Amino acid sequence: MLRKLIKYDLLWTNRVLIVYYAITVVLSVLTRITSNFTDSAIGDILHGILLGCTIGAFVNTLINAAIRIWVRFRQNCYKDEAYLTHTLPATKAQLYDSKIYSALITTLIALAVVIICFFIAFWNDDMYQYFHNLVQIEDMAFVLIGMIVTAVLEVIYIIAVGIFGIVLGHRANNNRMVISILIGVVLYFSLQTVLLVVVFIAGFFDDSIMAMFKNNPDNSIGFDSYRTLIIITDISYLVLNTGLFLGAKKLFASGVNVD
Amino acid sequence: MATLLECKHLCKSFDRRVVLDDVSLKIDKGKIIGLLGKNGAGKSTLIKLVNDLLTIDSGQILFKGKPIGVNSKAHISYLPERTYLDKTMTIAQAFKMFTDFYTDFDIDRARTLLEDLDLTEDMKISKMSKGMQEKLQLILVMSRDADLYILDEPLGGVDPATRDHILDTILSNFKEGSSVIISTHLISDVERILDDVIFIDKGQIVLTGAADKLRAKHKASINDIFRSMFYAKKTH
Repeated sequence: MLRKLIKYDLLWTNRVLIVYYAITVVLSVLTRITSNFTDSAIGDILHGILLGCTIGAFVNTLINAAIRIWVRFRQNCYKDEAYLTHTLPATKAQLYDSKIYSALITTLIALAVVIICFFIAFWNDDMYQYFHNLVQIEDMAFVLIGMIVTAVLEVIYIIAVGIFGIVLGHRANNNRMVISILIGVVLYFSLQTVLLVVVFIAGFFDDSIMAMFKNNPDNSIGFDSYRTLIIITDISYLVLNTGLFLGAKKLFASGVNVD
Repeated sequence: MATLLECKHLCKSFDRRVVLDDVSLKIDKGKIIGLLGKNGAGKSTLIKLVNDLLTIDSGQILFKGKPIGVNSKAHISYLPERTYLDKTMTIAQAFKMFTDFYTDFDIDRARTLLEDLDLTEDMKISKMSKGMQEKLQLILVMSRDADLYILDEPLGGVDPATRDHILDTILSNFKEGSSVIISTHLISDVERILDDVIFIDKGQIVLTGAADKLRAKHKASINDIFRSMFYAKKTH
């Protein structure tokens, strides 16, 4: 049953996103191609325009993925389509899990498209050197993977906050949409503050992390601190995401009131 | 007679407004039941509770003696007031979806009913009129071999000819031995097919019984009994 539910959720969510993925790939390839023609004025202008469009496409892909996930959840679980969703022979937990698994798969697909397209469009020796110098380390693989994992968890966190907001907001009898958005926004900033406090506390045990919070002109952080920071952030995001998804599941499984 | 559905002391409120107040009823197998009441009487809320679309404040709903859940959903075919299909789908995709999720869905019956409407499976639901979408939903619901069909205002907002078509579709397609609950305020249109009636008003069950017995007792049609009950209440 869960597999069937995920199939229909993924089909709905990615039906439109696939167009954005295609546009992003095409723009990235064109950006890479035109990077070879920046010697001429026209080539340079064209490359500049495509570069801007490609970055816009990255942002657009991620934002649209999040919006499609939220819209699917709300329409399918609380609006007209909910009259079919909740009468399918599935438990509320299965309905919820389907939405979350399909959301995670969609997020990973969207991020994979953006990351691959980033490498297609921009990656070169200069950039490698830039990153290399920035972190002053040789273990580039850990840093890159750490950054990617943080980005993935951050995007999932945004989606989790939105879903929690929708579930909690739709327990109200009136102004459900407004309340959902308010809860999502307040929750986002509250938990980000918690994350900041966690990093600040870590600063008591690591001077270079604490230097980020002080008006220190030499506040560059070393690789060890950078690695610690990534690990703390990723673990915090994992805990927050798990808490948000499980909390929303508990509320959802206890029953819904469709519009 | 075996009880198919039982509601025990159901209560439901929205904010402080009581919508259902201590509703208890039993639905037996093999009956066509009219759930009759004015707009806002609590019919749709009761149906939504039975279909797990709302949370119960207090009380209990049992289907074949067990609390409602996955098992009841597999055997209850529900037609809501709303158009609940994904508009981006084609009719064929909607059929496929019902085949995927409901083991009792008879796709051949659905195709036959579709032909009667001069619709083809490749049509997109978004391109269909609201009336056609409602008819498609009726086809999907009546193509299931369910134990209980719950039809919420199936005649609302349609012309008399279409009402007859809808009633014929219901009568000629529901599984033998199953029960049908028809919620409506258009009593005269459904009266001829009802075995039992349940009158609901202001969130309370005010009258239940076999349609024939009520007609004999009151020497009037169900429609007239309904009018006299609620009209009389209003004027006093």
